Amino acid sequence: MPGTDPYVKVLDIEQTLADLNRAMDQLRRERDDLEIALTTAVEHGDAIEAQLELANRQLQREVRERRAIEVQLRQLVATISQKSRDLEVVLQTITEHSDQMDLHWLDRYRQSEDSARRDPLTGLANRRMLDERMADEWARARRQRQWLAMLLCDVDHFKTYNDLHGHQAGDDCLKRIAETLCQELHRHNDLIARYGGEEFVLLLPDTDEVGAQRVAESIQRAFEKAALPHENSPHGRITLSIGAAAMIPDEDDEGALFAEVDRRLYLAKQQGRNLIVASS
Amino acid sequence: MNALAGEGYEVEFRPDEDCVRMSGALRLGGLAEYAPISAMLEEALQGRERLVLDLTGLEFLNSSGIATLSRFVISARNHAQCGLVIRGSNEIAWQGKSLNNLKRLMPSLELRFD
Repeated sequence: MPGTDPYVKVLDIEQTLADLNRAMDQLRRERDDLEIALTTAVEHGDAIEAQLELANRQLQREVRERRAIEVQLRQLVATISQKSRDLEVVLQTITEHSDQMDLHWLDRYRQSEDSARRDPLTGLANRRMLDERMADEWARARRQRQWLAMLLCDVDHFKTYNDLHGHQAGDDCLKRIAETLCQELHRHNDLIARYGGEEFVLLLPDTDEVGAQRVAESIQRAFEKAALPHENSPHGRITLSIGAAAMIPDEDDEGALFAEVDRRLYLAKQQGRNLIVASS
Repeated sequence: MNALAGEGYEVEFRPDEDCVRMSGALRLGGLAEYAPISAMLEEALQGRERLVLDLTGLEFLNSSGIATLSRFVISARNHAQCGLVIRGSNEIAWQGKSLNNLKRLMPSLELRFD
């Protein structure tokens, strides 16, 4: 500025220098602050990076461990599933096997029960089955006030048949006699039993004395027609003596019917054999 | 030849024939009483490429017996190197269904019915 005092100029320069120094100090402080901030940011970033790296490694390790555990679990599940399937099959095998064994024993039991009630030679009912059926039929007939008939048949001169032909031939003859008797019974509830050596019993539910007499006559005709040879018989063939009786039971003891047919058979034998005695 | 026998039954292991034969009626009481037979069967599996279990003479086998056989078949399945053949009989009723069930445990099991 023209005409300005030189002392004022010096003062202005000093003032300016002082301002500049302050500004410089300010800038230095700011630079230092920025350096600190920058260092802090860099160090913080490194720390974060290190932490992330560590977390990443941990995560990868956990993933590997979890995959290994998953494989083990899959193997365990597969093993358990196999054992479960095995157990189911074993259980079914044992169950079905037990059922088979039950049937096996049941079959044996039935065979045993049946053979215990059958005459092994003729296949007819034996004394045991006759006694059981007799008790049942007697009770039923008594309850329902119905007739119950019985025929007791004895093969005439059978001892001499055995003496002449031997026991094997005698057994064969008894089988044929049994077959002939079976052909003469047609009702489901009728029963034929081998009562003794050459004695046979026919039990006829719901049959009166007239009916019993007719069955006995039918049997006699069947044997006449069959003409089973018996050289030592006066008729040259197998004949039967038959005692027949029927009752409407009025007491507990079914022995009364047995006794009556036995008595009538005795009469038939006494009167010459090959006869039917069907009334008192 | 190793053999186990009891009332009404016999179990024979014939190593030279690769064969275990069971016969008679096996009705031992529970798996514990079948343990000697199980041990014989396991022994027969070891180091063998093929084993024949002959049941054609085994007329009766109770539930513990079929359980023992089932466990043996599972064991044989896990011994993949040993092929197992079971011979049965069509004349013995229980064998048809039960032996076929064993095949479900070991699909490679070879069943032969005489």
